[in-house]
Amino acid sequence: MEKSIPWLAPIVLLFLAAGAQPEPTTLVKLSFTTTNAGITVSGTLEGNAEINFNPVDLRNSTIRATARPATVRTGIGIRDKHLQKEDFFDTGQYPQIVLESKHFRNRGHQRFSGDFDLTIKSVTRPITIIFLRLPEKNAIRYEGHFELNRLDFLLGEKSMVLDDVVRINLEAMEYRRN
Amino acid sequence: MLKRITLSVALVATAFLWAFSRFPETIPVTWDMAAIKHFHLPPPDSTAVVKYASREYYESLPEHVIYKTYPVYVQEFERPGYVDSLRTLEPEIVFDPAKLKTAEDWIKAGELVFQWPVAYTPFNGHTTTLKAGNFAPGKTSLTLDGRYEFNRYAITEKGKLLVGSLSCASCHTRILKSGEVVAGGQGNVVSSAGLVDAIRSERIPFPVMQQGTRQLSWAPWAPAAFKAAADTKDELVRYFQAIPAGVIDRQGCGYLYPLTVPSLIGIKDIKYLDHTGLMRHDNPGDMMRYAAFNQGLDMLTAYNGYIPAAKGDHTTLPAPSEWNHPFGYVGKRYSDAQLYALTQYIYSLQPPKNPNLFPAALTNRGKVVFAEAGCVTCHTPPLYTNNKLTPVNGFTPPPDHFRKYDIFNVSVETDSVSALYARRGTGYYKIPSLRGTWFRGAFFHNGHLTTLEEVLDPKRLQADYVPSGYLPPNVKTMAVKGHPFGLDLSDADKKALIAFLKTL
Repeated sequence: MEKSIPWLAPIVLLFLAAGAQPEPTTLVKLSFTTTNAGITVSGTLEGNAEINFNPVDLRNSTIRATARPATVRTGIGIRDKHLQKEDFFDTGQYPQIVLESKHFRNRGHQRFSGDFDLTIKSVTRPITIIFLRLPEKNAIRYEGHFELNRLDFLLGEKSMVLDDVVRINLEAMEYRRN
Repeated sequence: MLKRITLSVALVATAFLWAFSRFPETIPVTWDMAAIKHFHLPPPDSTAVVKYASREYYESLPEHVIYKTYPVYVQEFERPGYVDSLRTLEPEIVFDPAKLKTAEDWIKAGELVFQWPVAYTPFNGHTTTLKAGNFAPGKTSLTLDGRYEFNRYAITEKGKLLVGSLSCASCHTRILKSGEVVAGGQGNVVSSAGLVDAIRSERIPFPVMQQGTRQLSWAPWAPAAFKAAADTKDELVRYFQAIPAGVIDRQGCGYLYPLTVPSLIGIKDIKYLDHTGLMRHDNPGDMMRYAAFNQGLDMLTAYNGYIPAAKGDHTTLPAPSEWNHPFGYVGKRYSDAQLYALTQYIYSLQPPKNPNLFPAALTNRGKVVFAEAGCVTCHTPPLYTNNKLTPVNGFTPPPDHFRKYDIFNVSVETDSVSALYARRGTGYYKIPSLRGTWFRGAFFHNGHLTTLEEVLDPKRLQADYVPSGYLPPNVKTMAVKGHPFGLDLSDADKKALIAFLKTL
């Protein structure tokens, strides 16, 4: 039994360290809408987020979210396949979309704005996202949205029917550890 | 001042009249080799080599002389003495470019070219052998006055009558239920009854048919599993009998893979020609080239060295004066002026008046469904096509194709054989226009489907499905796969979508 103590020590230390800086569990919902021939079409992507956001320490807060364009779903299977091809997301070459924070500002009433770099298909552009931080019982909900011009990110070409502007809706649930 | 204005107006008017009196300014050269190479898409097999007949050879082919032609009636409608009366007529050359001054003149002359047969059989009888009763109901339409539009009588020598066929009009004439004749529409006037009879009776020996079929359909890059001719007489008969209205077996399509006849109405705005987008259509010269190739010159093209219309081992072009199409083409070509006139006529074709009347609420809903179901992305108004090519399953576009062609880079997963293993194959299908859908009766590349309801019926995806259109002779059922858009719509939305489509 005594011999086991040296083995236990590092495990306990690791556990304590983890408890001191808990890795939050986040669930991310990523959806988008645009208009095709005047009709709103929507879709979803699967993604992850690493949220290290402290409303009273914005300077040291960070958010990094990624999405996998191979998971795009619009309700039309062949359209989803097309969106993964070279002329849209080119998922073979660019498997991830990355959103990375640069700095935040408090807009009051749980509202914040963040300046981010958004990278799609190796094109990086600055975007600003206004988002809400909503504490719930066992989680914190983040809700934000922004718009982008798909042509800025080489997503398809100019179209007579498909709008250039895509509205992105982000929702992340950061679960608190008990 | 007034004098100056009057003078200016007079000068402008004179220039205007002068310009139109000299229409066209210049006739494009059909056999421009640089243009021919530019407008052809390559075969899907990048190792395949396609070589066109030289300009010298092309220009040494004799030109068509276009005579006045006369309708062919079935027996039930032919007036007594009609055929013999034609033998009393003088041959009359009706196409003379020197007499064509205005755009309207060229269009009218183009109609003569459109109707001019390129295959002829001497006819010595005193009454036609064609009987309405011999035509399969629903497959071959006649005009209300009993004309069989696939054929025309031609008189090139007084007293001698030729039954002509295989004009542009032979395949591109549609007769509506109302009896209205629609020039340029998806054809429904062809009857295979005569050919079937000739095969059955061995009036055309079966080995000759086999050889001819192979010449028409063999693609050197097709795997051996895709045969190029029938194994038996019975199989060939059943194949021709299985081909429905609006679908034809033509040179360059695969054996057992006939193609749906496209409507030519509105084709001026269409960027690629043929189901497979084989030829680009950027200008009237391209349409002229298309007609030249499809009325025989593709049979004089070398595909990996194989020249379909060549003699012997099919590697050497026949002498210009002696080449013959396996099913009767004479070895002639159109003049540039004839092709230019034909192009002007085809560009001038107008759709028939749409008789469909649907409640506005229904078609408005259909328009919304059209967008919601994603149809609008490929079938984009106002042409109801985005004028692009979609790669088929089994073909990945090479990088340079994205620079050269208009590619909508996803397969809609329809049968790919016609695009991969036929001489007309390119690896793509073009996105067809939906304009004029209401007066078509054959859908999908090989004409398996005959109605829009069937196109939207998910049952067609099942292996035990019996399509209402073309069903190959050796199968009893088949799944008609691909283009799954709209299959899961509600019945109400399908009805609305179909109503909307029938207004286009």
